Order: sequence, then C-alpha cells, then structure tokens
Amino acid sequence: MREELTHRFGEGFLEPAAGRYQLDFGGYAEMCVDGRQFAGVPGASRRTSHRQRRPPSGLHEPLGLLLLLPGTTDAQHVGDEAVRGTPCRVVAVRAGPTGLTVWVDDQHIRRIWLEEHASPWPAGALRTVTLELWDFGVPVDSLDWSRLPSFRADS
Amino acid sequence: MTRDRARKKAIRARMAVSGEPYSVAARKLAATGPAGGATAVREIIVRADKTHRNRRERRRLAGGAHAPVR
Repeated sequence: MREELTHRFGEGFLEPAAGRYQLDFGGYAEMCVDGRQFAGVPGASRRTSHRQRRPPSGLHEPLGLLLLLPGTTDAQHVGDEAVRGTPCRVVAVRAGPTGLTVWVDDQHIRRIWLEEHASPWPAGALRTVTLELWDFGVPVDSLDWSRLPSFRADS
Repeated sequence: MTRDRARKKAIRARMAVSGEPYSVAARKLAATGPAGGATAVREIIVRADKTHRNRRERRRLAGGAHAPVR
C-alpha cells in the first residue's frame, strides 16, 4: 500500500563530471547544482524553490548511487538482460554495507537497483530505487540550470 | 553487509533476472564460484569511472517505493 502511495518516477539529465542533475517527477522537480540541492514546483526559479538541507550524496539520488560503485568490494555476475535494447551483464555488487544490483554494457553503467528496509517505519517495508541511464553524450547545452526542470509538463 | 546477506541478495538478483526459483538460482550461483572475483569488481569500477567521466547523460530515476524520499 505504502509503495503504491509513494511510488514516484522522474526523468531528466545527469552530468556526473559536473556533479549536477535535474529531474522532473511530474508535480515535483529536483535539481542539484554547485553542491546544492533544490526542489519544488517544475519550472520554478531556483531562487524561489526550496533548498534541501541534506547534501546531495544519499542513496536515493543519482550522484550518490553512482559514487557508491568505485567502492565496490565484492561483485558476482548473476545473469544477462537487455536494458533499452542493449545487452547487459547483471552483477550483484557489494559496496561497503550496501548491496546493489547493477547492469553494465561494454562501456557504461546502465542501471542500478537498490532495495533496502525503510526503517524505522513502517516495519518490514521495503524501499526500492532504480536509476537508469541512457543517451550518453547527448548535447545538453540548452538546459536551463536557473530553473527547476519541467520536461514532463512541456511535453 | 554480511557475506550471507550479500549471497542472498545475489540470489534474489538472479531470480529477478532469470525467473528461476530461489533454490535453482542459489545452486547456479554457487556453481559459478563465490563473490568477490577480481574481474567482476574491476568491471564495475571501470564502468563506474567511465560513466562518471561522461559529461552528459540522460537518465531516469524510478522509485519502486519512493525516490528520492525526503
């Protein structure tokens, strides 16, 4: 029930090398730029949107998930599966205390899947986060980093 | 994360990909050897590095429960 109620899906752009991203969840958007995270209504100016207090490095945001992987300590190939038509190897990964499932093609990370207990409440509830990456290298010069994204409303 | 938990997570990951029942996935993973293979670890780290250095990516974040959670 809680999963159904809280299910959210966002889409956007990520520039890991620049340490920034922007995501549109529909009625809610999120942006990370210059080490600061903002959230609010899609299309709102960054100046008027709500700045998040927590640093953008958690397990529930894309940069945090990606940054876990260089610390991989154990990995085991568990199968093969295509992601968006690209054949991938599926690898169960352990990075410190965190267990992840990762899909890789011959160059990039294509998907990261994390499942964890949503403690402390509700007891026994599981939270899952999936990060999927595609269209590597697309031009994003036209992106406006002064406003929260509104791709979904625009389309 | 204990090694046993990691093993169970690997089994569940294989179940999700292959559709195999737990016992079959566990047996097949055991046959492939223990986790921690240097090749698999290096593969992940190299891909992560390439992905991180890529200047521009389009990406999607989907939360089976909620993502991100505030």
